[in-house]
Amino acid sequence: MKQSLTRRLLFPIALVTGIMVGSSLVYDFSRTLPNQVLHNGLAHAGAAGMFTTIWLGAFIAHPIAFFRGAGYAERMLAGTATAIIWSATILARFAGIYSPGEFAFLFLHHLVLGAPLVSLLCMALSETLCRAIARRRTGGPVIRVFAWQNTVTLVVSLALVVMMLWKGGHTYYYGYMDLYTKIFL
Amino acid sequence: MTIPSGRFCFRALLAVGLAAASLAAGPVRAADTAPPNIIFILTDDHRWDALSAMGHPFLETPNLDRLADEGILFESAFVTTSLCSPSRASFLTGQYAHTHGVVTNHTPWDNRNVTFLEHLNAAGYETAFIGKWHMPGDGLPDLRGVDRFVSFTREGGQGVYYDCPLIIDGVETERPGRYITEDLTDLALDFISKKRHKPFCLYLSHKAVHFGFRPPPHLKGHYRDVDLALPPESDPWITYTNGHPFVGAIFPMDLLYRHYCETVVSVDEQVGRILDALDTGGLAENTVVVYAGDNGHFWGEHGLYDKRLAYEESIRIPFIVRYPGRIRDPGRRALQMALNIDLAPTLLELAGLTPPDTMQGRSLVPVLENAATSGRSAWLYEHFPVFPIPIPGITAIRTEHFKYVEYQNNLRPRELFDLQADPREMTNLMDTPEGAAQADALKQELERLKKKTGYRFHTQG
Repeated sequence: MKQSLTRRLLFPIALVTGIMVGSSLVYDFSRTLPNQVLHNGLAHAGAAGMFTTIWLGAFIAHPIAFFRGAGYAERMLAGTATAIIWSATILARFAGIYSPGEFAFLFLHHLVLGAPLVSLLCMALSETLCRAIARRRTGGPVIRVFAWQNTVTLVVSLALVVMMLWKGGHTYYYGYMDLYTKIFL
Repeated sequence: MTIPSGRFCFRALLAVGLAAASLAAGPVRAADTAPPNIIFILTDDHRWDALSAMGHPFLETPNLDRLADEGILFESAFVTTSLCSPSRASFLTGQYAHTHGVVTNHTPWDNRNVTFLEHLNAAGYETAFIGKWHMPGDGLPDLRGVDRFVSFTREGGQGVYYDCPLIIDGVETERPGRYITEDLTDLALDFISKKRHKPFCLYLSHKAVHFGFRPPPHLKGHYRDVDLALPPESDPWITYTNGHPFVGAIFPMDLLYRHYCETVVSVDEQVGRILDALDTGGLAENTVVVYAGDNGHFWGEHGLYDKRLAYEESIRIPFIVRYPGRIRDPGRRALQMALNIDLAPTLLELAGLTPPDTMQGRSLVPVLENAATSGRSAWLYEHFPVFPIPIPGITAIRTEHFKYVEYQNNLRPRELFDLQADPREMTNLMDTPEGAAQADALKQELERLKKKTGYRFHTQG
């Protein structure tokens, strides 16, 4: 049953992004603590929260959106929004340092694209799982586990993630930098 | 009228020819003494205190310590740009990055640059460049004044620790089963032990101890259980946060640091082989050995990893000079500020040559010979943005007492540190009245140094 926009879309995004921001603040705060045990404990907790929400947050946000009746586009947004916000904060670090062209080229960097793409992959995996659960709940073939849009998303995001991670990311990185050199230097 | 003999004419022509060649090359031999052999060993990312001689809590570097005991260790040695390629070009040319043009790891080496190897070669030295070149361009340059050129281009010139193919005098050669620090040392020892009638200069430039910090097999796990004694603001996740993943070392920092230290030990072992070979070959007395790092490295200080910034951990390097034939008080710790751009003029003077005016560093020979020699009072630090790293351009001035730092377009607040009261640079004095007054004077001096050295900001790269 389709719930309100706030409940089906904004809430899951706010939940995961809120944990991400909170974790980030905890991590940064930990460095100010003179007590090394407390410092390390909070640093570990903050880092774990950041990792979970930035890279795997789709497994939290997407199922909430799914079972609250969000459409596929909304579910994609729910699954990737936190990673996109994170990448935006990364890009903000570069503001004013490089030329507009170089700044635009940063969007292709695997550390900028990486989190949204991994989130997209996680979202597609979560979609498959959620569909299987929903199919079992409804007890019939009304819901297809491998819907065509999601299958395309799954295959494309998997291919892009593998491409970026191939040989530890070296292949993509050196290709990226070769292209940078050709364009800008 | 007396007609000159043919022999006299030949000698006169030879003298004129030699003088012309020498002048064309720049330096002029100042002394008529037997020129020393020269060995310059350059490592990567080896920071100033990663030596047991500098009081490191657990690192064991007996051979580097020996070098310091038998020579002079410059405790206040720095690089003018804390980044591999610019710093390497500065060591070679004696010039700031904005002068030699290698301002980042992406800007190409201009082969019109003149290296100290070229000067020495023109003065009769047999020269070898063995190891990491790591400056962009179309492969390796046709480096003038180098009789033997061994380097590598794998991974953008960074090389790899194991099985790194070498380009030996232009021929790509597979090196299966070899560990690069040992392999390069083997080639260096071949060059040192060669029978010759003229002095030699060896530039031995290691990949170590750059990321990925891979020690040789016998040192793996050497520091597995030690207390790393990292700074209190450090934690294992620094490499994953605050933009640090862009430098490409996405592993827990404590793990990286253990491997770094193990890799430093392997460098020390190989330096020991060089020193032993000099002893065995009877060459030690008349051979200058210089050991330096190309920049420092953060290991959690200020919550940072990597280098580039103007804090001490990043810009300060080990710098040791041993020359038994000329240093009268071995074991001395020199406190005068030395720079990477000082290497070239120092080596030329030790070789009896006069450094050309194009070199912006100053010879350290007076300091080597006399502990009371006064050092420089201030120097310019510069860093240019390196795509894709989120660190703006930096200019800074460092004196013995203070450091004043400015960032490109004021993207970060200006910084002022009292290095004597606050050596870890934890308190920015810019917001204090006394700090503001001090900053004005330092800014003036910074502008004067920029003007004097022809500073120009480079935006691309």
